[in-house]
Amino acid sequence: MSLPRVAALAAALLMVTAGLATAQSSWFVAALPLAAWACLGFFVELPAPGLEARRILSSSFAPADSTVEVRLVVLNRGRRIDRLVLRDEPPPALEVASGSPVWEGSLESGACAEFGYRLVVRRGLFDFDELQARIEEPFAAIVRAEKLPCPARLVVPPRSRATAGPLLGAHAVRPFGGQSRARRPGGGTDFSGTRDYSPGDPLRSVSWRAEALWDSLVVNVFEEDRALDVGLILDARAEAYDRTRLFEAAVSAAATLADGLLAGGNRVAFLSYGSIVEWTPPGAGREHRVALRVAAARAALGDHAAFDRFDNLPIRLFPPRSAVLLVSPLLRGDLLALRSVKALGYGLTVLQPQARSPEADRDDAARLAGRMLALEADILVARLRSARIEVIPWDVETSLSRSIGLARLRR
Amino acid sequence: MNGATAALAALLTAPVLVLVGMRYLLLRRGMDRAARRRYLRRTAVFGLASLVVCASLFLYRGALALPVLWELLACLLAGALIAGILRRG
Repeated sequence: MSLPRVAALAAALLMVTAGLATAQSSWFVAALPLAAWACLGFFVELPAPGLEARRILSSSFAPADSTVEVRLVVLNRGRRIDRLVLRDEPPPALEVASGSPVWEGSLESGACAEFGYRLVVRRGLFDFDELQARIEEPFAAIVRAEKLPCPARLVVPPRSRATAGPLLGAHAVRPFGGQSRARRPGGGTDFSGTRDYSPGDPLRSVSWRAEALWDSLVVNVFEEDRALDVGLILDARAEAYDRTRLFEAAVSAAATLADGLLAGGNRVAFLSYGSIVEWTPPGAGREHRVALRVAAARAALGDHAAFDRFDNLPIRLFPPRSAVLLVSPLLRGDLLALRSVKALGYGLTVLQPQARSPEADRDDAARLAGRMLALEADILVARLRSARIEVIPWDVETSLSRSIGLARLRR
Repeated sequence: MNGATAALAALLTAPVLVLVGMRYLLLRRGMDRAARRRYLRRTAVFGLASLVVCASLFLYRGALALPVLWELLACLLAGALIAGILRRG
């Protein structure tokens, strides 16, 4: 029963009580119209709902910080509705920039109600579910609430940063050519060296000049870069990040590196390690690029007791002896787990996003604390490097390609 | 029926008309012209019926005993309640 009817009934009962108390029949007479109006709703019937809703997003794959228009079309296949209130609930993380997610009005049978609003979007994966419909009979104050399903999904991948993927190395390679540090003798065009002829070598690979010089059959050996299986791990442990901006930069870097590695012909798997482990199996090609961008959009910071260290990293999901690229600011306790990954034969590289804390220069104590933390991080990095794990530090205020370029030079 | 009876009947009908009128002011922006007309027509019919009933009761108030009115109200409420339960079932 709606609030006005409850109020009317309460007022009628109050008047009846007053009538009984004062023995005045006029109170009863005054209570009658109110009681009759409140009870009217029991006898008036609302039209059978025949509403169908459709949601149209201007873009289901939108860049971060852009605006997306949401349009809703509701068709009335039932009887005329005197008053209809439609209320859409956009995901709480998104801000309504213009327009209104609420529509109210009358809707004729067979007519459409169309309304929309614009949202400012940020990185994430957003599911729109239902549209709330409130069908009212205004005079009798009868209300029926309906939920109209009109699902839609909005994917806002992280911003891409212009860079080529780092050249990774691994013991195991794929049989195809690709951009990597794994060079294997084969049918490439880069000259690698010479060796003695063995039966079965193609005649076109014989070096006739070397034969003339040394009087024995010598063949030229060529080599080529081979594609790799790359596992990209995004650290999404809330404890590892002191602010959201650093995590957003890490997600953005992970997505960019995945793009670069895929463009280099490699097969890339993606794993987000935080409150839950989200796994995207290895793949290549344009469709897989979309799947990786969706996975990066879905990544969220979180905590779980089981995943507060990399001890439970499901490294066996990645192909044996493949390359693993970890994007993580690193925690003090990560050393052993990462050494174990390396010991299992994976080619491990760590991209370490770093950001200067705004409170670092607040006073002497903060400066000292910052200095101690930096020294701790340096020791951790030195230990990782001594375990032959490559660490690429990246100040998120600078360009990612510069940090990767410096790492290549260092190599 | 004299003027005093009519005025008293109107006074006793006023609460419900005020309630319905306030709802109209609140809801009119969410209704089209046809819905507004229907609302006003129903309000007028209901108000008129209430006025007639109230006036009739006052005309017979000398003969109308308190328990009879009480029974009338109880019957009305019980009927509404049963109707509501049946509809939901």
